[in-house]
Amino acid sequence: MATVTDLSPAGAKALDLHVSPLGRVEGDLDVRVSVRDGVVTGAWTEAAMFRGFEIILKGKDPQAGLIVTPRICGICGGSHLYKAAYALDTAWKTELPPNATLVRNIAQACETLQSIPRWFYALFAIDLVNKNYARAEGYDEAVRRFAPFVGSSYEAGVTLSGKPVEVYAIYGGQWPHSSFMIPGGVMCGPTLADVTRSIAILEYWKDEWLEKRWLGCSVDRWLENRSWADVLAWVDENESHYNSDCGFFIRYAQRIGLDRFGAGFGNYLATGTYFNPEKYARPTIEGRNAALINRSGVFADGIYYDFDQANVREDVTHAFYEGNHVLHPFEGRTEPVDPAVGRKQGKYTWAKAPRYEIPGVGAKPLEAGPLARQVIAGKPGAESWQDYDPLFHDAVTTVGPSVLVRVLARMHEAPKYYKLARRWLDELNLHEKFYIKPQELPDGRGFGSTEAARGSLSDWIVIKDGKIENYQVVTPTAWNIGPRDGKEINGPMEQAFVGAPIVDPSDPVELGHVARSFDSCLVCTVHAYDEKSGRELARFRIGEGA
Amino acid sequence: MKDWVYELANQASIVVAIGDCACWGGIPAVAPNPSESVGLQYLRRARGGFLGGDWRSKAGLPVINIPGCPAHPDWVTQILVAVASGRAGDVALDELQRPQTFFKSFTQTGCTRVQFFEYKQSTLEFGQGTRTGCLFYEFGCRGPMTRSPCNRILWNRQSSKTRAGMPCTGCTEPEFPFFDLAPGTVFKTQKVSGTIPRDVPTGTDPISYMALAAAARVAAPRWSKEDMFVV
Ligand code: SF4
Repeated sequence: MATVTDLSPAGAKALDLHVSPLGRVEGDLDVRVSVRDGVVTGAWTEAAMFRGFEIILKGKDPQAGLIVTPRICGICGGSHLYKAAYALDTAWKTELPPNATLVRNIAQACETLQSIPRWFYALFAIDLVNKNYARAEGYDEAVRRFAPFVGSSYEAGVTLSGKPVEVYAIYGGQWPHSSFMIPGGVMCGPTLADVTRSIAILEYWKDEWLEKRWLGCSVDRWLENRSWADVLAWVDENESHYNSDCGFFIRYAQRIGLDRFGAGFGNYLATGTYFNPEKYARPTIEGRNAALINRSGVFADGIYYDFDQANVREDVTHAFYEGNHVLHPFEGRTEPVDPAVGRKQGKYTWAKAPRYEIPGVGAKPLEAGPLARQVIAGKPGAESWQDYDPLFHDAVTTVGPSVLVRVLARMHEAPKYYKLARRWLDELNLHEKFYIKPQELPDGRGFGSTEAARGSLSDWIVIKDGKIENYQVVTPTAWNIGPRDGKEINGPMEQAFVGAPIVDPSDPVELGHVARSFDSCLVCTVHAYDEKSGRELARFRIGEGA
Repeated sequence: MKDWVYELANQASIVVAIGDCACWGGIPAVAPNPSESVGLQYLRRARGGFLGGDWRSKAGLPVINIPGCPAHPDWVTQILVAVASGRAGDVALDELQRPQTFFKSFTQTGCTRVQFFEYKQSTLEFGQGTRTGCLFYEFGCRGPMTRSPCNRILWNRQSSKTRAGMPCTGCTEPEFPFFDLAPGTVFKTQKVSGTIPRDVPTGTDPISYMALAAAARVAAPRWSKEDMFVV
């Protein structure tokens, strides 16, 4: 709470101009940064909206989370459903037929495949054509490709992003907001044409966007890149790579300095996703890690740790909830306080601060998201059927994390998840079961988790006497944009702002890059203040809920 | 935020509410409605809401409600195009202020399971069980009581929930989610005396519905008891 708002009438007017009543507002995020001598010195992320889903779920039908939690987010609804179903599977001790695991995996992958180009073209790349870069080499080319609505790649990228979720709709009926994953399996019984159509759609998306526009090479050629040096060499390997959207982006991003800021703490969390159908036929909390295809893990201060849900905490010291407790989500409490009262106690946001308690080390804020997942993919000790991929461990340990590295980690998942989804489609056995009716146990505890496009997403459910006793959701956005904790340690995104250079204080596009590189699911407003005078330098919006 | 909505609504010649939250409060308004959510002109089925029941836009129209969780992009864009191209006069609204061109029909209109509904043949379980039958009898499908074009204008150009084996949850109606998600109500048909559906298709009553159902079951052909949506 270091600064004072000094809103000129002109500033107020500019804000009004940016208010869009049609914007899909998942919740608003205000980022306040203080700037000294052209460098960000402090940041406070304020989630401005209270929604109360966990309060709504209390006392409801155990399966209510399948209907309610997908609605937490307009773009990760399938991920919410995926982890909500596993929370119930573990609580009710269900048995899952292999087909059910495969269909859930396919659906989860397709949601993320949708998000990747949509995020890149519709949200992130718009900043690349900011006028601050007008003198940078390649600016005209950036405008030609990425200018909103008119860029040569923009329209195709955004339109084709809708293809993978057509596959989702074949199994789920619709995307978003289906509830077709239920304890014991999935509701659908797909036919031959459902599978062949899915293959055709995914192949079209891969040919038209992923290979033709984004990579300029085959999926398999890209996946031969195992280190950051490989990636840089790949760009110059031939004209097709060099001139692809990916090749151009890597070159241009280096020219405008996106490889030099936005590092954050460099500590990461993945709770992992996609299950091996044989290894997770009887889902349990304890058996989860060993059944994950894309593994879970923590990477902190250069060391890998196994992930254990028992070590997750939520700290409400600076969040608008009663007290300053630090609780595991099974014991989690969501008791809102009036922000006016909360502010007097140093609280400043509706997001709790998730922390991970590393045994023997202490509580750490961890960055969630594609970069986190891809760093964890480099963790040694993978089984043959698990994903092992050293590329981004190499990147963060050689060139270090940055906006560029974070963006490329996300894009790198497109070829990986495409390949997985294609393989799972081939593995479906249409003559076998998709559902095994479970017993609805009146009491139990469950944990379900996945990797939404933007990071680790988990539910903890406590069922008592046939009703929900407690339900806690920890989103990637909370991991990333959560506030300081009781020890005054910044949240990950707050930390990533610190040190960012601000070339033009009236248009600090650098903050936009950092905020967007996290792809938080909040519409985000950034206010920049001069640290000495407290004068507001700029205020702008960072895009619509992705 | 509330001030913006109020000011903008009063500047606009036409106001369109998109999605259940804007129309009637939606999921956030489920008891105990911790965020005190309301729709623009309704709170669930009660008229009033944020702007008040008598509110009219500059063009003299009440809020046009495009409900659904989510609202289908086609419902949204077509109504906006209609309004923007001077066809607001053609947008006839029902008693919940929904455009009738989309919300006169039922979710059931166009459902691929409707022949099973006709002969009262139930799906017996999810997954492989949805290769046949209708989801009304056991799984709480609200297709016959819900006004939407979900089976006329498909989702993601591919399918609909009921086609894919998921019961309609009635998300274009102000009561959604029904029964406030009370224990025992999710994906289960609510029944009286163990057999009669508590909610029968719109416009009928339990007694005539049961008479029709008994006759339909007698008339049910053999194919209606076999799988239809086969591999
Ligand atoms: S599944 Fe639902 S919408 Fe389809 S016919 Fe049966 S009741 Fe109607």
